[in-house]
Formats: sequence, structure tokens, C-alpha cells
Amino acid sequence: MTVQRIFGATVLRRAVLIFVPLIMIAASLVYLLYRAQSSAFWSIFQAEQREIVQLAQQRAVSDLSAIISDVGYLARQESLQQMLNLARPVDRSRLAADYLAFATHKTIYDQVRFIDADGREVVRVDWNSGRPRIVPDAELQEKIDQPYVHETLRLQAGQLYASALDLNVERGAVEQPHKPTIRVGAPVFDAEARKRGMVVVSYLAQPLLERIRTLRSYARGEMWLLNPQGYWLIGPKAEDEWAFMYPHGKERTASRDYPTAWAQISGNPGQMQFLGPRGYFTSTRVQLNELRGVSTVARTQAARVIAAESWILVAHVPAETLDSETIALRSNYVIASSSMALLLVFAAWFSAQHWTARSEGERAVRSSEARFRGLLDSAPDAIVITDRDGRIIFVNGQTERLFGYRRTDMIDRTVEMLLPERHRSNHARHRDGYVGDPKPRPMGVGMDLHGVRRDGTEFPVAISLSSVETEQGLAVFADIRDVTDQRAAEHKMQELNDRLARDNAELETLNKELEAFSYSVSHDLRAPLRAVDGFSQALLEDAGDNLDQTGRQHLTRVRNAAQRMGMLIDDLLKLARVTRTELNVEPVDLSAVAQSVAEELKQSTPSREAQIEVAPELHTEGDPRLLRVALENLLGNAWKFTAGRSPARIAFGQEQVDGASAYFVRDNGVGFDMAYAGKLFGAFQRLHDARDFAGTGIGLATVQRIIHKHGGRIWAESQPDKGATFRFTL
Amino acid sequence: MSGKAILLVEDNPDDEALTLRAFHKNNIRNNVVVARDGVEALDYLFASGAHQGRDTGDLPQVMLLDLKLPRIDGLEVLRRVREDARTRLLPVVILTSSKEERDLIEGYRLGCNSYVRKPVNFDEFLEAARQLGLYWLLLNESPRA
Repeated sequence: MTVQRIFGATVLRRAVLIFVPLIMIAASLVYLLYRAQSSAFWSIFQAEQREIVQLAQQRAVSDLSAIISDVGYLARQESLQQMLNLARPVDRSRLAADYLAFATHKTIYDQVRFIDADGREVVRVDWNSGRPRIVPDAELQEKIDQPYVHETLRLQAGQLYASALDLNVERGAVEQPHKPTIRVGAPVFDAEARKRGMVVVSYLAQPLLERIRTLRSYARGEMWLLNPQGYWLIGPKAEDEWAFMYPHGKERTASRDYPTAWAQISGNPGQMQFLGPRGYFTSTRVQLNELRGVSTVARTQAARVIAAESWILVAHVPAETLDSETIALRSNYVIASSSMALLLVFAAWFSAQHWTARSEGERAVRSSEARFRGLLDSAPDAIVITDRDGRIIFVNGQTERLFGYRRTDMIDRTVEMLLPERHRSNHARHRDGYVGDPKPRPMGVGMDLHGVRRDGTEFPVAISLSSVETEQGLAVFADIRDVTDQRAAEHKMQELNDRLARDNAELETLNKELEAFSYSVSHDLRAPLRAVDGFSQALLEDAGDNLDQTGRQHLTRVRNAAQRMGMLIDDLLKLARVTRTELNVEPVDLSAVAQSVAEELKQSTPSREAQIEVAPELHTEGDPRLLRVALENLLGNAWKFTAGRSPARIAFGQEQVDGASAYFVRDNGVGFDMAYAGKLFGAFQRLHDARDFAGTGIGLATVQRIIHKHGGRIWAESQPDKGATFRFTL
Repeated sequence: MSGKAILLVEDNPDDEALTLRAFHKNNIRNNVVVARDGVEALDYLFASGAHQGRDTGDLPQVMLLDLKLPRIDGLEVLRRVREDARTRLLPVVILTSSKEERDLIEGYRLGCNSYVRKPVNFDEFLEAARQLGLYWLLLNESPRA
């Protein structure tokens, strides 16, 4: 791998190749994530807004229900009924005392009053900013012109009136600080069911309003409380609240500031949520009409509330706030996406480098694989590589040629496809055995293994197995050699061996026959000759006198012939013995043997004048008895053919002939004509007249056979009358 | 001279005649008992068969034993003679045509006292017979059992 490759176009191209799909995937993922979170955000947001609005509503309802119950109680109050029915002054003061206790205990009422049917205050207790007091008669007022008074006095038994929520006005001016008040009253009837007036409480709504207002801290935006005219009781701006109470504020309504949203909200009597251009709005109604309290008439009856108005609760998240929320969300994702993109750039870059590096490696691996394949393809044997389950994962070209399948026909099939049907199941078993102990070994030692070609023909194979543990698991290499020729050669060799063994046996038999023959000859052929010679001699002795000279000569010839035949037989037996005798090789002192033979010759005819010279210290290796026979013959011949010489000269020694060492036996005898030298060593071949020189013609044949048996050769040189030299090597 | 008998084990009548002639020529006058095969030789020595009732203590002076014999051959006769306590010390001379080495070795191994080859030449035969008689009948003192 080179530096150029690291930073070069390859890496860049690969980085882009990696980066583009990655960033697309990442972007899609981020987008989906954003969408999911965004939708989750909206769901949560909406639920949250609904929750807040409902919470506010519940607070309002809960407080108002308590007021209604209180008013119901006051309307049924016993002291009130006593006062109405008995009309005693003491009863009025008792009612006043009760109202004082009530107001003191409740703390939420600014005023608790009984107003008669003409609209005149009869009993009144003021909260008086925490110091409740019974208002003296002098301070009691006419209230008939107040809407809540005549509206209440119109009601029937069991009904309640809830006024609009507004600010308390004292003596024609809005009381400062603002005292938001709602008045709840109920008509009061005496024992005769005459309407005698009304009880009314002025509820101090400020705590309720504050509690609703505080919810906005959970609401991400603003909590609004609106009256049906669209005036803010709780609003986005303090100055816009209670605007309807002031002559200059009549225009400051929600319909002015949020016309679209207000149109939607005011047109819908129930709960609603919507996203408008000014933000997100969630609204609900506080329907005082639907409030239920304990009846003003009987505890068992439900009170019916006649309300001057219903309120509208709105949770408003301004568009800016909403935007900032979603922008924050989006920007989170933008930041996340950007950093991810950056990360991906790096990842892509490194991957590309790694890829480049690896592809370098892979190319190296591929080229080494190619070399490996090339190597295997050029192998003389079929090479099959299988996995541990015997599935073929590689074959070389030789496998295709040997089995006749194409590579693609073999890959992924089990190796048993290359075996004869009858061996397949066994082979699968042996294969498992091999995998259990995967050492290199020749397969099926001592077995005749066969492969089967695609065309079904079988051929003998030799298989050796080895294995390699690779990342992909065990790989078993089977080296399969077609041994058809080898088997044929072995077969031929076996045949030759068999024939040789047969020949040997025949030779053995022949040898035995020869032995039996010579045994028989030595016994049986000699006996008749003995008889011929013996009885001829007996005849000569016993009846010789009756024969003439010629007759006696004839008998002598018979005897000579018999004796000569005896010698022939003896010599033939000797020759046979030489032939069949096994060589018994040991160190031999040829000088000593020759000397001994010479002594015997001299003693056989002591009268002859002869010089036999034997060179000293001629040592060799050979069969001492056979070598003695050879020297007896050679020296015996020399002795015989020098019979007419005086002195006879015979020599035995060693000399160099043509660079090789040879023994010689030389004499100064009659010699022979070299023209007949070829016949010298044949059995029964004689070059001299038997009358001149006795002999059977077997001696030299025997000598030659002995020399040949020793791996040597023998030859002769001579001239008639000039003596002869016999040379031999051993 | 008479003396003890010579047991000649010989199946060939010619050889028998020539042997007897050679003894005669050499003035060997001992009674010569001829057995024509191994069985006859053993019957004589152990007083069985045709020689039932013979005194086995009356051993021949020497047994001249041919090797090639009908029925039981010479080497087997020699083996049985040497096995039996009565004949263990009987002088045995193998007198045969053969001079095969294996016969020679086997004969001496089985305990023959001498090994003589019958020559074709009758003069040599006479010489051999003379020496046999000289040695085994006159010079050699057989151990007395």
C-alpha cells in the first residue's frame, strides 16, 4: 500500500462511495427520528395543554360548587326561617351572628347578606379585610337596582343565581385594588312558601384567579380566563384584564387582539385545540349552569344554578414560544445531524482507507490464491480440498481431467461422488474418523482404492490426506494419484517374480534330477563295468591258457575299455559336481594349493625330470576345494603334456595382462594348434591322440566351469611343440 | 582259516562273485554270509525272519555294507545296527560304487568304521579287498562284548 493510495483518488472515491449512502441513511434516520420526536413533542404538548386547561376548569368548578353548597345552606338556615316566620327582632340579630360566624369561618366571602324581597339589605356581614363585622342598620343599602338582586328574586325555589364575575364597585367606583367578585344568591321562602327575600354571598374570586393564573408556569405560555364577551379576566396583559369595567377599556377584548383564534374558540361550546398563526390554543368552558350543589330547599335535592355567564379557559402558547420550542428541537437535530455527518465523513474516510488497504490485502490474497490455484493446477496429482463435512471446496485442473467432471459440477458436493457406489457409505464413516484425528497419512493403507469417473469407469488411485485448520474451519487436502500404470507395472513385476519363482523351482527340480542322475550313474553304471573288467580278468586268469595270444589281447582291450569308461564316468560326475556345488568362498592360498598338487604329481612319477615353479604368496578368495580341482587339472595337463620333455618345466604364477592381473600355468610341453583353441574347454574335446596322452576330455571343461563359477575367465595360448600357457582370472 | 563270518550285504550278484573271488584270491577263508538286501541283513543280525533262532551273540567279524539296496538301504541298516546294543560295536565297512560326498558324510556320521569304494578295475578291487582282510580280519581286534 502506498501513500498515494492512502490519500489518492481511490480513497476519496471510496470515501464518497461510503459517505453518500451512509449520510443518506443517516439523514433519513435523523429525519424519521425528528418526525417521531416532533410528533411525540406535539402529542405531549397537546396533552399537556389539555391537562392544564382541565386542571384550571376543575379548580374553578370545585370552588364554585363549594359556594353553591354554602348558599344552599344559608337559604335553608333555621335562624333565617325563624326570623322570617316569627318576625322577632331578636331573630334578626341571631341571624346576623350566624352570618358573622359563617363569614369568619369561611374566609372566602366578602359579604354574606339577607336581602328582603324589596331589595333592601336586612342582615349583612362584611369580611372587612379579615376583620368580619355585622354591618349596622344605618349602613344597610337598597340593592334592588343591582342585576344580581332582581335576577335572584326572580328565581323559583330550588334555583340559584350566579352572577357574572366582575370587580366590586363601591359607591360608583371600581374598588382598588381590584376585588374580583362573583355573587351567588338564592331566593328564600317562608313557611307559607312566600318569597321573602334572598341570601347572597359575594365570593372573593381573587384566590381562584390566582390559582388559575399560576398554572401558566406549567403551560409554556399563558393562561387566559375570558368572559363570553371576550374580555380577559385573566389575560396576557394585566392592563387588559377587567377592561369591561372601565369606560375606556371596552375595546380591549380577545376578539380584537386574537380575532381568528377568538372566532374559533367562541364558536365552540366544548373543549378544543388548534394551532393558529398566533400560536397554539387550547380552550374549554367553565359552565356554571352545569354546576350542582346541595339544593336550597332540601338537602336531598340538587340545586339548579342559573348563571349569568360561562367562562372560557384558554391555554395559549404564543407562536414565538412554540417556534422556539420546535426550533430548539429542530436545531438539536440539525446539530446532531451535522455532527453525525462530520462523523460519517471521518468514518467514510477511514473506512475507505481500510477498504483500500484491505482490498490491497485481498488482491494480495487473490493473487496468492491464484498462485496457489496455479500451483495446484500444475500439480501432477488431482487435488481435492473439502471441508470437515466432506463437501468439496476446491479442485484443481487435474481433478477435472482425471474424473471427467467440470469444476462447477464438483464444488459443494460431497467427495463421495468421486468414489465407486459400493465404497461411499464406508468412506463417509472413515472421513468422520479422519476429521477426529486429522494427521497427514496415506489413505486406506493396504486397501485397493478406486476412483470413479463421470462415465462410471473405475481406476485405481493412491490417496494421501492432510489437513489445515483455516478461519473457515478444517480443510482436508486429498492428493489423488491415478496409479493405473503403477498397478500395471506392479502386476507385471509380480508376474515376472512368479515366473522367476516357477523357473527357480524348475531349476531346483532339474538340479535334484541331475543329482539323482549322477548318483545313479556313480552307482549303477560303474557296477556293470566292474563286472566286465572283473570277469575279463577272471577269464584271463582261469582260462588264459586256453586262449591264444590274440584272444588274450582282446580280453585286455575289453578290460581297458571298461576301465576307461569308468574314468569317463568319474570325470563326468566331477563335472556335474562342480556344476551343482554351491560356491563356498573363503580365503585361499593358491601358492600352497599349487605346491601341494605339484608334490603329488612328482610323487606319481618320481623318475621324471621336471621342474615345477610355484610363485609364492598368491592369495585370493574362492572355493578352496574347487580351486584345487582346477589347479589339479591345469597342472595335471601340464605334467601330462610335458611327459616327453627333459627337463619338463612347469610354472604357476601371476602376471599383468592388458592391465589386469591373471594367474597362469605355463609348460614347455607339446602345445596345441591355436586353430582348435575354441574346442579346448568343451566336454569330451581332445586335441591329442588318446594313445599319446590319456584323458577323458572333461578336465578343461571342469576347469572352465570352476573359473566361471568364480566370476572369472580362462583362455590359452600355445604353439605346437612350443608349450602352452593357460591364464585365468578369478 | 575259518574264524568268524563276514556279512556281505550286496544285491548285485556280479559284485558278490567278484568280491568273493577277491577274498579268495587274498586267501580270506572266513565264512561269508551274503544278505541280498537290508531286510535280510537285519534278519541275520537280529535272528529274525529267515534267520529266526540264530544266536544273536554270534556276531560277524565285519559287515561289508553296500548302500544302494532293495527294501531297506545300507544307511538305514547302519542306523539300526548302531541303535541296537547287541550290534553297536559291530565293525561296519561301507563297500559301495558311490563316492558321493553326502553318502560318505552320512555313513561316517552314522558310525561306519570305514568307507571303501569299489573300483572298476579288478586289480584295484583286489588290492582293496586285500587291505580290508588284512585290517579287519587279522589286525583289528574286535572288542569282546
